Amino acid sequence: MKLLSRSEEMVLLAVWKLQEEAYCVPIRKELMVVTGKKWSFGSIYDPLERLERKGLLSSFLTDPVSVRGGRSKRIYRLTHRGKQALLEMRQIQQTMWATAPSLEMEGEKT
Amino acid sequence: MNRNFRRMIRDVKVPDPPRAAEKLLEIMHTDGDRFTHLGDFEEVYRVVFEENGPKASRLWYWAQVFRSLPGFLMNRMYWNLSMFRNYVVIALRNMIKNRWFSLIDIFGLFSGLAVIIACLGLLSLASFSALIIAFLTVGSQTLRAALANPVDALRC
Repeated sequence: MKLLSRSEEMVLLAVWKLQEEAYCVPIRKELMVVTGKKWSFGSIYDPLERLERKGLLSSFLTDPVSVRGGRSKRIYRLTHRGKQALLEMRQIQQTMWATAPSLEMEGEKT
Repeated sequence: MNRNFRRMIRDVKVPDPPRAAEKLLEIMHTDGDRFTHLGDFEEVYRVVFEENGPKASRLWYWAQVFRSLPGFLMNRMYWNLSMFRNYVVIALRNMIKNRWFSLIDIFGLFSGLAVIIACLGLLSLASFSALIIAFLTVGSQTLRAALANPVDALRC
């Protein structure tokens, strides 16, 4: 399958981590906490849209929620292919790390 | 969804986001609310309200409007330009279809334009010549003025 971009990978993983609460706001919050950087809404919508078009995610609208001013959430879920993509991603990372020399930054000046 | 229903279901503890900003965002995100943008904005608006107070939250909400603006404008420009391209294509096709009539039309248009431009050119030429003639008739006086003030004449 085609390789995903970094932001797509991160969003995909965040969707899997958040499970039932995987809509834009918590995904953005999660990524901001993890990376320590500012993520705009657009930088979440875009990968979500692309992943959905690639068939790795599916989405549905919930009932209206009062904290959202009576608007609904669009909750994302991993499809079977999305799960496969995540597994493959981890596999590639692990095999590459396993064959690479160990990387220790301790005692080294940056 | 119905606006009144929204008002009803909204939490009363936190004031609504600025009405005008909300309207602008609604106008700018023209995807049929596919992404439920406005809900996302409002949810984070409430979080900001609890953390940083009403002023900061209102500011944040307005900031979203301005951050949406470039993308919105680019999108509009893209689609407007592509529609313009379609108009040009349609015009060209019609011109090819009615070849002789369009030739006559274009010929008429260009000859009209040419006549107007030629008349204007002749008119300006004539008025300029009249100016020069008027100047030359007082040539002796001009020379005298220049001699009376040599330094100023050189500066000119």
